[in-house]
Amino acid sequence: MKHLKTSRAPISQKAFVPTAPENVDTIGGTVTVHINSKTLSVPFGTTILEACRMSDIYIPTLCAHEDLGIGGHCRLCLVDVEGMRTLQASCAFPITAPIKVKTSTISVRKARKHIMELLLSEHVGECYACVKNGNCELQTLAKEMGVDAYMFGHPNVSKYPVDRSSYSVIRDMDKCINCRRCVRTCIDLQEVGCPRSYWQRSRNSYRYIYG
Amino acid sequence: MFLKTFMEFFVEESCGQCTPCRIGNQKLLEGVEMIEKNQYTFAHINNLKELGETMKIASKCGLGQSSPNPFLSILEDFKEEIFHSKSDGVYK
Ligand code: FES
Repeated sequence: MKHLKTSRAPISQKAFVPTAPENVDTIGGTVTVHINSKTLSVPFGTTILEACRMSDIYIPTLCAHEDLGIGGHCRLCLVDVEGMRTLQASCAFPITAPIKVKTSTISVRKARKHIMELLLSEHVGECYACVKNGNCELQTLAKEMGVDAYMFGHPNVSKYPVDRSSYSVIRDMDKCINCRRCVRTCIDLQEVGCPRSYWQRSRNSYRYIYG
Repeated sequence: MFLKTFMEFFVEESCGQCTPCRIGNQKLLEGVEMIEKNQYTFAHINNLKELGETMKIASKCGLGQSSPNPFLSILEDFKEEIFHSKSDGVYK
């Protein structure tokens, strides 16, 4: 995460680094968390996702990536934090107080399945006609979550033309699920900010522009 | 229908960051349009209700958490008016 502090990315695109209150002895110390039935102590400010990975508890993720800043868009990594009204995205929840977390309650699993079905309802085309078939994170997660029917429909008609104008990147917006890893890679790692995303109201979809 | 105006507003105003709000609102709007045209199945409406419950707890901000409220409560409180007003008498 060190590179984030020195990056030249615009402030609005910078990852949120939680600021700890001064003169608290927890800084640099550890916090105890209960995850499912395990109890472990993690460094102050670790996200729930990292804590779960430390203790071998599985959480499905789509937009989170170790090298990138915090995303929290896809909401696939939802967990139940005790005392919270809503479910929380574990990749975007820094642990700053002792909390109790449950990672596979009924509502969490239902929410994950719904979100997967929603993502698939905007993902044009059949899996078997795709180059990534068999080597696809989305496909693996969908299978794992037991998505066996397109509950909210599934488009088969292509909406956008494939962009082959670049020598290095082929861009097929039909397959885009808005995880924004490409955008964040270019900002966080390359510090270029070449692909940008903006919300197009008239079409109710994201437009990605390069250049 | 009154509800359609609500859902159109939410589809329009969604910032598009998180999945449940971005796509969920569109699906609810499609559901409302289907009800309007008498082209719904009760199974699908029930799916949409469950989706609404998910959106309430899974969205990132207040807009996504509150947008299914009108959908859910209108379908709950005005069940008879909505589902028994079929003019052609055909129940699907
Ligand atoms: S992985 Fe946490 S929101 Fe996408």
